[in-house]
Formats: sequence, structure tokens, C-alpha cells
Amino acid sequence: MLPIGFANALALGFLALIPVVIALHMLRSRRPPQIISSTMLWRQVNQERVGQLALKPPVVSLPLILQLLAILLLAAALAAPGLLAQGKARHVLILLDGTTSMLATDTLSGATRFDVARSQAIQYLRELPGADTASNPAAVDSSLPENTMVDPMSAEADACTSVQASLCPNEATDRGTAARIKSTSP
Amino acid sequence: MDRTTAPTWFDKDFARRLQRLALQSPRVLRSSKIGEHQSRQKGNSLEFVDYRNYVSGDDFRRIDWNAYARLERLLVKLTEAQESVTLHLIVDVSQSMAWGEPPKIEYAKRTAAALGYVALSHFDWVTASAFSGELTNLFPPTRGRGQMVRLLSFLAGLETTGETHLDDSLRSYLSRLRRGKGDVAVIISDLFSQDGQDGGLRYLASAADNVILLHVLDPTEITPELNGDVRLIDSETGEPVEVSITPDLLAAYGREFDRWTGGIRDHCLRRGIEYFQIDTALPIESLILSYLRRRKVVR
Repeated sequence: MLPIGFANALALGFLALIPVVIALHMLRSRRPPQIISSTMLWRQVNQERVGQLALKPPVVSLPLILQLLAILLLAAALAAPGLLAQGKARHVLILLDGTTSMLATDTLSGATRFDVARSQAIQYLRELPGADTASNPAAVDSSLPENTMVDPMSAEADACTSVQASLCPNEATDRGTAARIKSTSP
Repeated sequence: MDRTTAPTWFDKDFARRLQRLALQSPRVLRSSKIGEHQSRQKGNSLEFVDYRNYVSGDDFRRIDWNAYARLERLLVKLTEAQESVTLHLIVDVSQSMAWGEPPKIEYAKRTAAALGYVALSHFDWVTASAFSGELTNLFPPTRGRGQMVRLLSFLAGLETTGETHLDDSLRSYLSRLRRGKGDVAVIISDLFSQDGQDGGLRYLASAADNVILLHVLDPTEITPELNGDVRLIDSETGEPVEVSITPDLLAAYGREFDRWTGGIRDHCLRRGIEYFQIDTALPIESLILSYLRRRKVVR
């Protein structure tokens, strides 16, 4: 079962209103006077009870239940609860082969291998759960090492895909660069 | 006060049915000594006073057969010695009696009037008084059906006032009146007395042959119809009591009410007082013609 997280946990502070509402219900309201023939018996009954105290045990009534429910719903709505991914969020690093061999068009659609790989990467990024993070995509390209790691902890899939869309293959495969990128990722 | 200002508490049919009733001595019946009262008076003065209608239980020997031959009605001769019973009507007029629907005081007045009418119809002596903190009104002993209007006017003029102090009032009452054998005292009260009622009832029980206590209560005093948090104000003292009505509290009130009335009932039983708890929802006609008749207060 996935744990629940809150986008605005401070809103749970509204739950502090619950004891306030209960306390208000425990306070004795201003009583309407009612004349009766004699209070003789009522005095006897009251002596055995807590009738004269300022507070009384809260009576479970419909107004009390509705007020508590309203506070709970308000606090929950403002706190924006959501399901968290299992355990620690995953960090995804996408590496695209940016060598010229990826320009080959031997795919079913006739597009280059790089275009197909890029499309699949974009699709994968779009399907990432919200809590996961992804480094900006990198094309393994030894001649453009500065392009390989941009904002490595970005969680915005759209930003990643836009960067990725601008990538294009370059020279020969440089496995050393790929290994370097892998080692710098968190 | 003349007849035109007397209250019309009874219709003709009810009045006619009251005339057929007679006061009964509960104590005599309880001890299975029916007729003892009459036989005890034998040999005393048998001076003729009046006739009255024959009612079930009367001695056949007292029927005037000559009158029956002339009028074809069964009439019983009344003599001074045989029927010198005094009915004491003692009505609580404290402020708490003004409460209820109908007000308990109205119920008490009508009950007293009905019993007084029964007694006057049978040439019994009737005296009436009212009390709250002390004895406030006194209707002197009188007899004869012709006095009914005066009695009704007296009862109609009673107004509620003050707190109930039954003990002091009954002591004061007994000190004023001359008492006789066979007297019947009827107290009509809600018994919400600030200082209890045991002492006063004890005095009265020792003074009158038959004491009948009619404990008049409104239905909402037996089963309160209250909700939520309320500030109850005592109609006599103005003293407030704050309560939060819950089912548990109502149950506790019910237990306290039973304990209170049970204590009064026990006290009356020990003192030989006839105790009846009357709910004002019971119509007066049913109270007199059925309830009190079944319990041998009237016959």
C-alpha cells in the first residue's frame, strides 16, 4: 500500500480547531428560564450530579459531528494529499548514443535510429510518475561534453524532453564519456 | 354572594349523580366495621333533621316507608346524632398550585366543591379552609344543600399566593376548630412544601377520625417535558436550578419522584391516612364517580 503524502502539510494545522469545537460544545450555553411549580425535586437530583459545573461532558449531537467533519474535510482538502511512490523516488538517467551510426535509417518507419531512440526516450519520460526525477537527457558525444549534463536533478519531464529534442548525433561512440556521465549522476 | 355569581362547575347531570353519593368512612371500611358509626350513636338524641335520598349501603331500617308510599321515592331519615359528621376541606393555595394545565388550583377547587356538594346533600357539616404559608381563608362549618352556593363562592374566590408551609398551616387550623368524632378531613395539595409535611399530617391524623390526602399533580410533574439546557425557576421561591436535560437526568428525576411520593405514602400508611395521588389529566367526574368511589372515599 502506498503511503500518503501532503503537498501542503501546514494546512493540517486546521485540525487544531477540533478541540476548540469540542470545548465550545462542553461549555454550558445560556439557558432559557422556565418557570415550574417547584424545583424541590430537581434540586435533589442536581445534588447528585454535576449540574452546576461550568463544563459538562460533550453530548454527541448532530451539530457537533457535522462541525468536526467539516474541519476534517477542510484540512484534508487544503493539505492536498497524494500517494507517494514506494520507498525512495527513482532517479532516471537517459543516455542516447550520439554517434553518426545512429543516423542510419534501417528502422521500420524509415526514421533514423537516433530519432526512434529519442522518441522512445521522450515517451518514457512522459510516463514517469510525478515523484520520480530525471536528469536532462544527454547525447553521448565526446566533442560536446558540455551538453551532456544539464541540470542533472530536474524533475520536469517536459524540460527534459525539450532538451532532448535538440540533441542530435555527432561523432563516434565514446564509451568513456558515457561512463563519466554515469558516474556524475546522483 | 347570590346564586347568579356562583361558578357553574357542574352540569345538572353531574350534580344529580353527586347527590346519589355519600361520604364513606375509609377507616371503618378498612376495619370491616361497616355500620359501626350508626350503631355507636344509638341511644343518643334521635331528633329528626331532614330526609335524603337512599343510597346503596344505607340501613333499610332508616328508610321512611310512609314517605315512599306518598312519593314513591326511597328516603332516609336523618337525625342529629346519627349524621353529625363534619367534612373538613383543606385546600392548598400556594403559588405552585397555579401551575399546570389545567391549573392545579382549579382542579383542587372543583374537587373540593364536588366533595362538599356530596356532604351538603346528605346534611353533613362542611367547613373549608385554604392555606399556603399560613391559614389564609376559612369557611365556617355549615350544612344543608342550601349552603352550596356559599361554598362554591368561597372556593371560587380562593387565589394562589406564597409558599407552602403545610406543618404550620395544619397546626394553626387544628387550633382554631372544634373537632368531633367521625370528622373527615380532606387535604388537597401538591405537597411541594418547603419544610415537609410529616408533622402537619401527624397532627391532623391525631385530630380527625378519617384523613384523606389528595396529592394533586400535573402530568408534567410526574413525567417532565423538558429539553436541552434550561434554567428552572421555582414558582414559589424564585430559586433557580440549572439543568441539562438528558435521558439519564430524566430517569434520575423519576427515581427521586418515586422516592418522594413513596415516602409520603409510607408516612400516611403509618398514620392511617388515606393517600391518593391524583393526576390532573383525570376528569373531575371520573375522579369522584369512579376513582374515589372505587377507593371507598364516597359510596
